[in-house]
Amino acid sequence: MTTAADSSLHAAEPGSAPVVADRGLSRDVSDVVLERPTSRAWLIWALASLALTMVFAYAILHLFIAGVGIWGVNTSVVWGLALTNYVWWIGIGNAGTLISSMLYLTRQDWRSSINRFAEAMTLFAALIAGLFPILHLGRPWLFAWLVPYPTTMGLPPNFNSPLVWDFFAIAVYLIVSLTFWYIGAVPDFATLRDRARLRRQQVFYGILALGWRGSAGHWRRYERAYILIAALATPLVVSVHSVVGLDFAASVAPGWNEPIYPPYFVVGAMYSGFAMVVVLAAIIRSAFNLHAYITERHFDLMGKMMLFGALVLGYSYAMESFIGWYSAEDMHLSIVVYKATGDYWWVFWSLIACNVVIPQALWFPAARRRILPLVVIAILINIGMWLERYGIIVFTLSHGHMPSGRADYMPTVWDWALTIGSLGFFLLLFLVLVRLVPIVSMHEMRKLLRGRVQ
Amino acid sequence: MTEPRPRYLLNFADETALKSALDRLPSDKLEIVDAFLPFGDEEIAERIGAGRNRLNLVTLVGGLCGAGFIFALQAYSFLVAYPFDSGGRPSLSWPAFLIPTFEIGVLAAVLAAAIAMFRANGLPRYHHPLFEVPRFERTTQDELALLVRSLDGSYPGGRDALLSFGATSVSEVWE
Amino acid sequence: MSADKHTLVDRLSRARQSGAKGPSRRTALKLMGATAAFSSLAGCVPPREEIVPYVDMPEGMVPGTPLFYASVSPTTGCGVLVESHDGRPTKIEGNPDHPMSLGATDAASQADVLDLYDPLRTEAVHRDGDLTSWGDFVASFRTRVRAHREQSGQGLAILTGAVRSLTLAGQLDSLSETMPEAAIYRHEPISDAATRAGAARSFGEPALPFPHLDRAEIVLFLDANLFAEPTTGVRHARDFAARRRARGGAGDFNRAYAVESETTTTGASCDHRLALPPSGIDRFAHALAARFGIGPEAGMDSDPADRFLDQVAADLDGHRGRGAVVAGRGLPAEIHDVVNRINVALGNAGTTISYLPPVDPGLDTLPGLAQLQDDAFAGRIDSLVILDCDPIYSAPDPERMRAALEAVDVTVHHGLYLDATAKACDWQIAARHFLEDWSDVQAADGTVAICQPLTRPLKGGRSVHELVALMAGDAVTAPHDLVRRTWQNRFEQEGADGGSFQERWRKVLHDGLVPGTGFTPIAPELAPAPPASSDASMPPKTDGLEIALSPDPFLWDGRRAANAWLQELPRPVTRLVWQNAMFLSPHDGAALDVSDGDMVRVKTNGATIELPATVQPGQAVGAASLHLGFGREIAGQVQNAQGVSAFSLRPDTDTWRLTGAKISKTGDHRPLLRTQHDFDTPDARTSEIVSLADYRALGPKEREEPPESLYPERLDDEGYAWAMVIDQSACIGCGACVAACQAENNVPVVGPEEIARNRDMHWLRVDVHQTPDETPETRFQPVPCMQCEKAPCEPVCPVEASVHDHEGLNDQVYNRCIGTRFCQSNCPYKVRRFNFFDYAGDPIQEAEQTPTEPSLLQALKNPDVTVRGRGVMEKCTYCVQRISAARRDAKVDGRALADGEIKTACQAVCPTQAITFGDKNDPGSAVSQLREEPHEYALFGHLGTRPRTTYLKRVVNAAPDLASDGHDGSEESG
Repeated sequence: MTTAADSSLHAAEPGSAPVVADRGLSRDVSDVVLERPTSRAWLIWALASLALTMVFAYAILHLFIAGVGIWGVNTSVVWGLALTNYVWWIGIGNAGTLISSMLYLTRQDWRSSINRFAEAMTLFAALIAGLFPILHLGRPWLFAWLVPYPTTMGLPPNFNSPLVWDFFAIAVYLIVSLTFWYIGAVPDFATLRDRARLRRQQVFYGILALGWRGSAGHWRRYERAYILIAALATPLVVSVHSVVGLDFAASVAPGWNEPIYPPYFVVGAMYSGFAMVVVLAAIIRSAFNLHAYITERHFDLMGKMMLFGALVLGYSYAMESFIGWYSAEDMHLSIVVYKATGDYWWVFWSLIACNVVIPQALWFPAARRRILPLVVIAILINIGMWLERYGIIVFTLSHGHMPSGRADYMPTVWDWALTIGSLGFFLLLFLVLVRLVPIVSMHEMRKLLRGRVQ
Repeated sequence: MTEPRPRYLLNFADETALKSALDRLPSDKLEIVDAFLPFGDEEIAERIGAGRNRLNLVTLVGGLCGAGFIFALQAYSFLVAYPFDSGGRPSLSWPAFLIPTFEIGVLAAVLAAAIAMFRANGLPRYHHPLFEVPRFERTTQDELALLVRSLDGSYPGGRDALLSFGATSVSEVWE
Repeated sequence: MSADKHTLVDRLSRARQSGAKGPSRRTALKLMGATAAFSSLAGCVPPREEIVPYVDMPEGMVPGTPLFYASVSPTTGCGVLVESHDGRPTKIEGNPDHPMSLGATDAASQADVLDLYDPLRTEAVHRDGDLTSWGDFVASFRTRVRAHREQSGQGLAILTGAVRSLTLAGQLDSLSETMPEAAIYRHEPISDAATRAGAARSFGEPALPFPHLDRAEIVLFLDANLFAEPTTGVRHARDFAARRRARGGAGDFNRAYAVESETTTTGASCDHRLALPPSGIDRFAHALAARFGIGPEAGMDSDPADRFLDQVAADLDGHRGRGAVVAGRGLPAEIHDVVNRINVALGNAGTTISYLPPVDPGLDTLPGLAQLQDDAFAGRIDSLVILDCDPIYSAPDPERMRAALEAVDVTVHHGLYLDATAKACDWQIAARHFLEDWSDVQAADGTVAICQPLTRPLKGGRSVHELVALMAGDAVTAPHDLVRRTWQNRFEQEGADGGSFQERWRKVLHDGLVPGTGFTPIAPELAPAPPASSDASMPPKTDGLEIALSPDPFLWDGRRAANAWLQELPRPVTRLVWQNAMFLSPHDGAALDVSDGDMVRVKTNGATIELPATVQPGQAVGAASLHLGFGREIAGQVQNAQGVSAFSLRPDTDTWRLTGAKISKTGDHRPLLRTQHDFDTPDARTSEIVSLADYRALGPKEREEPPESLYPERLDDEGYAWAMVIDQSACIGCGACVAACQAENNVPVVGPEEIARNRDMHWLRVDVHQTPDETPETRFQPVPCMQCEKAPCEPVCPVEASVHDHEGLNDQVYNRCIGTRFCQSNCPYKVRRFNFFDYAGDPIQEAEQTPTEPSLLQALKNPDVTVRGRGVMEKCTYCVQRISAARRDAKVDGRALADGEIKTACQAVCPTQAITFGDKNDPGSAVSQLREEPHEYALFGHLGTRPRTTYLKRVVNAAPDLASDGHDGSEESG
């Protein structure tokens, strides 16, 4: 009543357009979580993803009861889809933090409208990624032995092992991403707290807001802390995927023992991450008609990022093969040949197509600015990146040094159940999130709009 | 005992209004306690001298402590707790140690920054007199506000006089 | 997909079922195991009679292990030492004193202990499948026998396999004395009939040629897979290898040639191999004979074959009296005759080859199955007693055999398993495993060893001696007394020079053999040559594929079909497991348009079988090879459903070649169960092979240094540094080491399903490498853990499950392992094995959920070796339990370990002594000397892994003239 009257009053005043924008912004964004009723579309999606999540849970339960033998892994190819999915998910988990931190540091203010859900995506992807190495263990209930704590056997973890590095990287990355995401959201929680009408909403967001009052002092320390964390998160992201690269590069296996792996994993991660952001952005945008906040410009820019990724990745592939030939190391060469012509040639060639060839379409602005083609390309890239990780694991393990130890690998229904299930779980988490948390960072948008006026 | 000195919350439509008010408020009669904004603004903070901090230092120290600790832990486990031969690597294989060192360093730094920030801001704090002021809730959405306190007794003219500084509304805040 | 085989649902339901009984399924399994262990311990008490432990073990035997008893395997006749833990026989070693063993055994003998505990073994006495008691049987059978005895044995018939026991032979003789009318038949599915007949042709009496390969400088194997022979293979392999040791730049080598259809271990071990179909081999024999003036002049029909022939003939001619031509059991009698005559002509007979009388003369004198069937149909048999053979399985015409049994009034089957024959009989009497029984077994060379029981019968079986004694109406029925009596009489005849019988008997039991029982060879005086019928001398070239049958090296005639270890033991050249297949040459494969795994239908002699084909490089064009011994029905389940019995293809029990068979492609495809798919040579930069000439030219070793390491040396030269050297010149790929490793280290069986998913558990494998050319060169490379000094598996393990010990062993700590499998993915040699399921918990495998009782099998486990659970990585440990046992003893005596004091399981069993193990810090040790050999190399040395297991290249004594299609080594000498 009063508020409504006031707002109309101010609307009349000159130069106060931003205020209206503010007000509109706060309303548009927070209504999504506070006011708007759950749409049928949302319900359908939620149920579908819930079903897949059940598949996920069932696959895990059966895995724990029966053992990893239910998968297609064998004496030669001891790693399979579990680790493929791990690398793929952690890759997707990269983009969020990259977008928010790196673009924040480089003052790419357009990030403000996508960083919130990009970070959420990071969080969930990293969470799911973190599950796979544990599920993949022969005795998963003992995974805690990777933590440096005084175990019953008084045994520290082996800090030489890339898996221990991995553990540290993933754990740290999860915590930091969560912190970063939460800190970024606190002022918006305060807004929701103050806009909420229902008691339970007020309590819920009130707790999350920690009593944020938006005093000038709060803001000053807040922004300082935020930029510090952003500055720390950026190298962290890079390190996380470099470590994943080291899982392979630190071995003696032909095709894995490649110095190029860490950087090339980082780019690959950013690449698939951006592709996933594009897909999610398109969905959210249409689902909650936020066209005003997520514009063609955003897609255009992300399209350029993906193009960049495609080029660097193409270069890495080329380099891998070139070094294979240049090193004149017969095993190295044989694996290169095996990739392109061996049992899994189709994996190799389709990943080249999805990751390098098709994205070249992004040279054309039309492909970048129109949503449909961009989303299609993005999905293809995600498939391609999954295939790349599949290839990295299967190529080498099925074609090792020892000819007698060469055997092929065929995923079982349980491998697939876990893979598909994880997608459902991810989607479910995301759908729940958009109902609880403002998917666009309101306070950053406000600042952005102010900037426009002055 | 002195009679309680009232505080006033002055809401403004935008920062231009607020800043001009800052110029005009009589500093002999009124003390500016704090400003409340829906977004960060260095200039206002500077002018009311709020939120100075040593977060950079805290973060650096936190990071170094974390890194130092984990490196020490690794060295200890391999040299003292459980020395063993792993593929012929030396016990103090420091290059391998650097990765956990870096990761934990970053973690510690980030947590230090976050915790220090919240502590300096006195958060979490779920009960605050301002939350009793109905108009205050706008400061997290679309309005800015100044919290002022008159230096002696109640401000002459009270709310109406204060409105003249361009505030859209003035509410009294009692401790 | 087998995933559905063990869905959550039926697991839960199983859990529920057992839950009804109280504990969950898993705990239920454990309990079963435990109770079984106790019950079997209860069963595992030493027998009442005095048996003598093999107390002071000879040089090189493994000390520290509980107790060893000398005994003998009735199948091979080779002496064995059986390791017994608290009355539980767990491991079999060869008896060093026994001439046919010399301390080694073949692969199959290693698996005999598994049979002892086999849950499939039949129990006590059954009548028409219902459990009754021995008493009932005796009651009803004794009257019957008495009736027969009154009419001097009329209507009583006994069917046995080859009789290798003197006591049994004696019992049967006395039986036919008391009952002259009683009919005794012999049925040996894998017989040497042709060999004996050939000798009869040449020398007038049946005999078996026994080549002394340690004396022969030129050896020619004509379709003779000598090393796979259960009775003599071990000794032959040892003798052969004795002439192929390249040491210190010298080495007096024999030169070996093989002419055969299928690539066998023997053929692959030769310097030159010529692949010919059976008819071609006959032709070759005649052509060779012709070179020495025997039979009409003849030549071969192809250039390589001719050049091969010339070379062989020249070499044999140049080494008269120092060569040997050996013919296999598959060749017809007249070829054996021809070969004998060649050997006589060359003066080899009597020098490098002695002709020994067959162990069981009955095989030549007594009637066989055909006669038995006729008599049965003619109603001449009222009571038939079948002693431990399965004629319905191995007869040429199973249905006729079954009918014959039905025609008999009362049939009694005495055997270990409830097989097809047993089911067709009225009475089923459980036989005793030889580890439960008293007996005496004669080896191929005549040496007799005493078989003493290590435990009371676990399944209430009855000794064959007891059964026969019952029939003969003998007063003495206790097997111990019967065997004792035999030797008491025998020693008394010989006179009392050997001291009192008691002393001699003790000594015999202790040593495990009776001295002076070896055969005296017959004098090879030639009988006049039979008129060589021209068609015989030149067999017509048959159109279509000739099928060459041969016994499976492990299952033999199917008697071991129930043995899971042997089913899963990779076959020497093909690496096939759990199945047999038809081997085709690439040429014939293309002609029939079949490739590996395509099913083919074989039609001949009114029988039809279907089985997968495999295209084997090195297989003779025009010959399809098939192995017998698969597809036998036991305890109601056909063993290894993948395997197919080929016995029914044979017109009679002595036929080994089939011509005119129809072979067609059925169209469906079944992936082959094999543990190796890629037969390439591993490392192009270090060849595994060097010619004798090049080897002699090699100077003292200039060891090519492994690449520099960034890290300082961790392992010092103090204390022991264990290392192993494997001589590829000696290895014949027989697989005994793999079986021994399985027995010693509680290595579980995974079953065909898991094999199909490329999972296997053998810690030690014998890789097969074949050169890609037309006539491929086949090499064997046993691959245990390399125990790398800079092991790639160690730094990647996050939990120190894979760590290095101070003696250089690459240890796997099972209770630390969490199953990341990073170690295996980073192991260049792929020697680590992972428990994808609880393989050890279930005797077959968790995944298959076959309701087998783990009970008795738990008693088989070696208590010195941890049993690994699900989700844990395991690997070769250099038999660390043996090392520490020896170390303990040495500490107790306050001395250092002597070289050769520790023998790993694989090393101890190796018939050719290809494996040497010891301390490389001790410059005097055998292993350090071998490591200095010029032809010693490390597998993938360039990776800088610094393996402790290294190899001696295969040295080949190639004939200069055949160098081109053999190998002069020059193109490969590394």
